[in-house]
Amino acid sequence: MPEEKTLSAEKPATVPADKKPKGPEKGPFSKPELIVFIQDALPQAVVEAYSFLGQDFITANKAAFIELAELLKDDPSQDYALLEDLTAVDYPQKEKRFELIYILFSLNRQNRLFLKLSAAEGETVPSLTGLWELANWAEREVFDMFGIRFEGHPDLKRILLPDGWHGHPLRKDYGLEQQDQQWIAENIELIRPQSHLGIPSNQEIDHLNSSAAKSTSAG
Amino acid sequence: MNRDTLLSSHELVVNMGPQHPATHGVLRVKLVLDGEKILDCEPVIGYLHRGIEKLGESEDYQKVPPHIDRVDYTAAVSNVLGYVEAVEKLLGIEVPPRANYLRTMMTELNRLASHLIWLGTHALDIGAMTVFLYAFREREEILKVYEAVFGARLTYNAFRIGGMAEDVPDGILDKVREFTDYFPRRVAEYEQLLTGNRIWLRRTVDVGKITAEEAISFGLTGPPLRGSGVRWDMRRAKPYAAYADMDFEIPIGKNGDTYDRYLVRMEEMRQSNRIIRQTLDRLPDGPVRAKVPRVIKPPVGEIYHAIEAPKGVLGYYLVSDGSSKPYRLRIRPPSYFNLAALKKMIVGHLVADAVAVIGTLDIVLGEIDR
Repeated sequence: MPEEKTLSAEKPATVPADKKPKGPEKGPFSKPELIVFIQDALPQAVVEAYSFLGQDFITANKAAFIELAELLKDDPSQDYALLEDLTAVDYPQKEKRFELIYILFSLNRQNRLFLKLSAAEGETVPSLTGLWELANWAEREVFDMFGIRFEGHPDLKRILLPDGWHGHPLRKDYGLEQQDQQWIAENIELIRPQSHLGIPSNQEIDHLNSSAAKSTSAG
Repeated sequence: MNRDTLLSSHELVVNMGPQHPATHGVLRVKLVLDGEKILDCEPVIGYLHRGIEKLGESEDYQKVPPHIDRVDYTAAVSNVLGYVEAVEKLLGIEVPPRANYLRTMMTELNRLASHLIWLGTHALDIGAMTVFLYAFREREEILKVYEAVFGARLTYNAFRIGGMAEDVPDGILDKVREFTDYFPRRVAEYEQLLTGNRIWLRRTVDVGKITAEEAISFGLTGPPLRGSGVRWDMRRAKPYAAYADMDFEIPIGKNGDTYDRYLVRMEEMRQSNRIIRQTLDRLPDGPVRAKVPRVIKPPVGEIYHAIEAPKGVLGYYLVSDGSSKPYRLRIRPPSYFNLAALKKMIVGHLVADAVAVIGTLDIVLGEIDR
């Protein structure tokens, strides 16, 4: 297979540490009583809790993640009834490259809580489909785009890309113009046998491309 | 073939779409039917996937909005508002009040335009053709305003990080005021055609019902959630732009059926009109754009900002690594999660109701597939 163009895989110009723009810093978690409450019920659940730009983040422990989500959802004092979104970010340089982000919303108190979970390449993550129906399609999208598997998902398959596709586009090592050439060759037929209405056929386009390549390499 | 096989009933799998006028784009729904009755359904999406989240990672912050315009192309102003506000939050930029008011005005006009498309196409799907022509008559007036303000009719690249690109041209505010004068009468016209119409009632009442608990579990937002009786609107829950100053009501339904969602959206149009009037009456003077650096490099960090788009809660999760391009741009599309509830809403109904329910969810495939 020819080398693919990988636009985004080019390393972005790294910003020297002293020239990085100064910005808001992580602060202490704004609701310490929530952390106390969680630690009473699930001592192992919280790895880290912090606040950033008014957003409360809890980095959770995978072993107690479902219990934590269930506690936050069903306990009347917390009542995070809505899972607003579920997504992931890829940090290839980290030991556990994926960071999953769960956004919970409390309809009664109108505030958000962000749960974070790390996952290494090939590691499975517990599925929240038992708690929220939204998790079904959201987890399918994360699987499709990042290749993270969710344990306990009823029907984990690709959702936006075709079923037989290889690769997970939102990973950082997946190029912007990268395509699954094998899938395309097997599934897409764009054969126009002869010129029609002045539109060149595929063979003519190939011929033009190859002659253009020759002339540029000669010059 | 003997007589028994000819007359026996079979489960039949029918592909509705991807090229079907009532699916509002390239949506394919696999329907398992017994006669006219839907036994099971599975939406198949992705035909319009353009990788906008991936594209966002390859563009400078200022160059992302044209891509965002194409997410929900019937409400491009709302889309861009959510994105630029997320970036502004990350940068810590205060937007001048006049810009905030103009943004609110333009976004509410966009809600009207989007709801008018919904109304026209939804009614057309069910068989009421006249409403379509009426709805597009008013939408045209809104597009004329957009053409004067943004210079485009569909994808506007409406706002800049820090405010508006420029102030609105002379005379356009009078045009908007004139529009808001007669628009409530036009809503009454649509209602006259549909609200008490016996055919409309037969096609919508008790069709596609969903309870409040189910709606919350599926993450339905916008009119589909409010139609089930949950009074939740991001404009009130987490006010953005100038919504904190606005006086408006959040209509809710009772039964969570297609008819209630219709009533909710009709009332939302009246409320949007009220908000536009308020922005016109109280529009402050002053600059329309804050001082913004030429190269935008937000500090390292992440931000989630959500707005109430016409279809529901539209959220942006932005991760910055300190460079001039977003490290990760996640778009939380309302239509995507609203469509996920389709199966729950149409199983047990007739095939013709599938068209009504797809219409009432007000999905846009550009947003679902991104």
